[in-house]
Amino acid sequence: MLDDSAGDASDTEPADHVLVRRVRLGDRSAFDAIIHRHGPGMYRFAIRMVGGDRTDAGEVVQEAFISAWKNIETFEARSSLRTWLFSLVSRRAVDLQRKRRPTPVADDFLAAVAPPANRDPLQDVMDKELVAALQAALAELPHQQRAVWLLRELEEMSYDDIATTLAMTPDSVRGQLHRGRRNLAERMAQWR
Amino acid sequence: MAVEQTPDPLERATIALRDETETGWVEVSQSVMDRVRTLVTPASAVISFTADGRAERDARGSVVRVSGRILAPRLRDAVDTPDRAADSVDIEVDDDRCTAIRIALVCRYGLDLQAEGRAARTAAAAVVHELLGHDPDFDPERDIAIDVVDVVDGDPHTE
Repeated sequence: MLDDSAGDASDTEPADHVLVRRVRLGDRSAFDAIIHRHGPGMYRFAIRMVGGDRTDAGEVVQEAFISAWKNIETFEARSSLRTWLFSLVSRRAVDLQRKRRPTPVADDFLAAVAPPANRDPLQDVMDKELVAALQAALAELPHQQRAVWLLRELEEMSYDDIATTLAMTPDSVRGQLHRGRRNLAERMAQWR
Repeated sequence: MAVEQTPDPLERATIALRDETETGWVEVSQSVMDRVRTLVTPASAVISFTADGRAERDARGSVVRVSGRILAPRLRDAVDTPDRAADSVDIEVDDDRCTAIRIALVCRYGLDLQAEGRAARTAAAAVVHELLGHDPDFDPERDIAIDVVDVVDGDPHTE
């Protein structure tokens, strides 16, 4: 797993709202700290949203952070910095997909996965194939279903945070998540 | 991690996806930081003045201006101590002149807040004098407002 703290600051690290405050006062190092704290999760989310292409995901995350830098004054503390940043990734991913339909699973998707040591090679292959199948199934989902599923199942966001991130109601989030799970289960059924 | 624990293929795949280590973030993060550094923040520029209160001019006779991108961080640093931190710095500009500065502070609990405010104003006034010179229309006592907007138990820089 990537090491991202999901916005939780330790005792010695400034909280998100403190970093935002510093950025608004022109402190670029505070923005670097935001990138290091939230970037890994945003990058992981972006990879899944664009069908596994890491170049595209990097572009999406970069555009999201540029947008955040330019619009930090408009960020309202009512939402968390994390949900705001993920909402920027979601929008940039939509923009990219509009330009580049369809989004096939990238060829390097399997190669870029770095397995831990001491693993059963056969199991690794099976896991990779399973993950590749899931990525392919995700790519077939409508954007919103895919985003809701990823934010819930991989980023473990609350329904309220997902609703804020994707500008939906919590009830819509539940509906989209239900449909996303059902669609993915149907597509993955052949792996039983 | 092997993901044989459940017969549900979606659940197995989800677990495997959660356990993946993504490569490439280090390169992406460097690229993002490099790109952001090329961007400027929108900020007004204000006129600086000579010691006798005239608009300062360079060798070509052009009026010298100081960007808010320079002024705001300097003000933030000036009022910063282990016991207080700037929450916001607002610089009001009218006709290219700095007409008012409003600094919001977060202070550590238990301090004499009025004394902290006075010290912060003195520090901010020194920065204004250093960067903008002597603007005869700018009165630090009147035009620099210090508001303590929050008091915290711990370090005001991290809470």
